[in-house]
Amino acid sequence: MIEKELISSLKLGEELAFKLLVENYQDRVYYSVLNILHNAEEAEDTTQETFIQVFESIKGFKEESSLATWIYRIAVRKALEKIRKQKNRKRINAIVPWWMPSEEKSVDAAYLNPGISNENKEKASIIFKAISQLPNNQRIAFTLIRVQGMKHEEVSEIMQLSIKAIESLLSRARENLKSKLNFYYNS
Amino acid sequence: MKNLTDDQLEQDLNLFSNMKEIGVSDFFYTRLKIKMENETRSNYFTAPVSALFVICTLTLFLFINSLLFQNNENIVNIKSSNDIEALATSYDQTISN
Repeated sequence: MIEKELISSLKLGEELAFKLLVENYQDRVYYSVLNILHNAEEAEDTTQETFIQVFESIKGFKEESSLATWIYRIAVRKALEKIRKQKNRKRINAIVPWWMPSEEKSVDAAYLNPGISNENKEKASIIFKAISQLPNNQRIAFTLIRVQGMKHEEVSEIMQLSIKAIESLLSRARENLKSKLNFYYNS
Repeated sequence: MKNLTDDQLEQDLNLFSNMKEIGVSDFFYTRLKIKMENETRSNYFTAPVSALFVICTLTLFLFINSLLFQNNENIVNIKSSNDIEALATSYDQTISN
């Protein structure tokens, strides 16, 4: 089915079109979100929320960008919401008395990406930890370009920023990452 | 202390280029559909209940307000007219000399 046909079928609320859309994009969305969140469970949840949002707001989709870009934009926004919630949870855990159950461990646990080969797992875990400490915009730009291999143009459309801004984010992320990794390797 | 060079960083980051793409686990669409149905169902039930709750609360609020307003009117009347006479009339009494 051509994208235009798919969009008009989606706007008519056809379930088959929605199923097709989910099957076409589920892996790509999940992989992006997983690389941003570093948590399989939260990535699945965010992917589901992304498709629910797509289903609810497809009628308002003005087709100014491609369907894929629009879906990625929603996915990134949802992932950022999850990061915000994680940070809030961390803050709450910090003030929760010691005898109350805390979720801090699950948030801070070392992330082992299942797509990384065994010999690189340890190094990847350190790098992912450093990436997760970057400011949100740097984290998103760096993950989409360097980890997932997206083009600058695509990321600029997803993040609704100029290519220059994306390049600047990427270079700042690289510098920050370098100093964070220096700290890890020397400590 | 050893500083990481640009080349070393690049080398480290290159491990992502060999990373295997991970997809969702089986039956993702089924799980998604169930979640959507559950959300629709909970919205279907909570929306009328919350609307009813808002209407009831507003009605109660208006009722209490009108009661208080009536009581206040009596008090204002006592203060503004001839004090003793008004007080007496509010208790269905008359003053005779």
